[in-house]
Amino acid sequence: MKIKCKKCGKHFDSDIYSGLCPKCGTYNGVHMDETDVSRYLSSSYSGEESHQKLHEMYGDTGHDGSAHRKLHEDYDQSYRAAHPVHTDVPEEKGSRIPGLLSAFLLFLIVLLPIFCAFSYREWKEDTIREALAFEVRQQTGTVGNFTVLEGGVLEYPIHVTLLEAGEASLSGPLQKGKKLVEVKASIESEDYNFGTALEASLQYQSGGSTFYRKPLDEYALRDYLPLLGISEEDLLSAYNPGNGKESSGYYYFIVEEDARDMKLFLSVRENRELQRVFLEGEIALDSVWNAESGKGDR
Amino acid sequence: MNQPVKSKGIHFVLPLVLFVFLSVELVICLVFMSSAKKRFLYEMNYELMPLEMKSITVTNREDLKEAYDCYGADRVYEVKVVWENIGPYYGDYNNGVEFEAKEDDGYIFVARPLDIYELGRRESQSQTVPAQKSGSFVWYVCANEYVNSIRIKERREKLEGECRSVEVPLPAEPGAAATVEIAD
Repeated sequence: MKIKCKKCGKHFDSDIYSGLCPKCGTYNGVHMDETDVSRYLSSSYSGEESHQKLHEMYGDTGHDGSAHRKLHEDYDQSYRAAHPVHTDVPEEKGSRIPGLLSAFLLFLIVLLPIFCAFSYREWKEDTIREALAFEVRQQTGTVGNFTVLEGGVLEYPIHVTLLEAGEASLSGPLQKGKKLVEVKASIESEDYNFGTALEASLQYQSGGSTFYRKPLDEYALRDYLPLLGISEEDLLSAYNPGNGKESSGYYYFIVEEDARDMKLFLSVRENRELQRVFLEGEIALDSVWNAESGKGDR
Repeated sequence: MNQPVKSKGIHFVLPLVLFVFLSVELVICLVFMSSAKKRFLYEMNYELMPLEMKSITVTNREDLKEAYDCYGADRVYEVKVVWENIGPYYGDYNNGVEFEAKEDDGYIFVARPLDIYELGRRESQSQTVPAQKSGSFVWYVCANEYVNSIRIKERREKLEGECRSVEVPLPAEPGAAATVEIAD
């Protein structure tokens, strides 16, 4: 039943709002005017309390409050629709998707390290196989005291010339039965060969066996460089296999006193990662040997 | 009434956490693989050097006793190993062999030159065998009088999963030598 508020004049349905004006809150007790209900509708009640009092009023006055109950039911239905309970069957279906995703991700977390470990092992075995199957090419272009190393990953040929070879005198620090061999060489290439290094060693025969010796580096020789009359810059290292200009210098090797058939053995290798040797050549020291030419403290 | 709301949040957060964890794990795996590959490649020519022993000659070098750090009844032996370097790398002195006494009742060690100079040590370390060549290395070892034989072991097990170990008798007489040929 539509009524008009006594105070503000708003029109509203008194059955829906139980006589309470939705605008100003004034009670318009037209449908219950034979009962004094003012004690249920005091403005001192709080929201929850006044709602409770309303229900008490319905009970005490025998009013069935059907319109108000319908409001409750409508509210409950709309709340359930907006807030589904997860124990309901259709909502459980929806929760399976993140569950499956979690399981898949967990599977990946376990699988990923295993996959990485297997790939690494495969790669390692392939690398070893590949490295061992690598062919080292022997250089044959040696004439007298001169050789050319070329081909493979060498962009520019490296020319090596033996200039001098002899026995250096460094009697003090040498072990009994050893001697110091000095080799002077010149290395030249048109330009720098990136990613390569030129290793030198001395091949010789002693006591019926073949030996190879690496040259002594500047750390081993630093105390004896003044005795030899040279500086660190005069030593040839593996890292200057012709940088576009000619460089000459010395290699020093400690060998047995009875060493013979000495050859400068040259290997061009990769300068990074596997450091495989891909090219080798040699020059006999006989052509330039002069026992008295070596430096030292004699 | 708030329970359903909280439950929905958990189902959203868990995959997100797993996804983040997976991404971090992927990065860790890739970084590990990358660094492991680099390390392996860098160390390959040191650790996987395929030097094969061909023959071993042990000589009693009593005459060198004063030149090495051996005293009293200890004996100095020159051990010469002929190698074949089957790989495309330089063979290195330090990756050659390991020496072991046969029994527990004696000791053995690689003898150091007694001189004060650095060159003595450098000299033995300058021994090498170029790629795919044969060559010899010489070590000096010191053993006490109770050791009658030594075991010489290759250090190439990482490459082929095996390393050969050869037992060599130690000659007691000064200047005497014993040679062991090793079959393929």
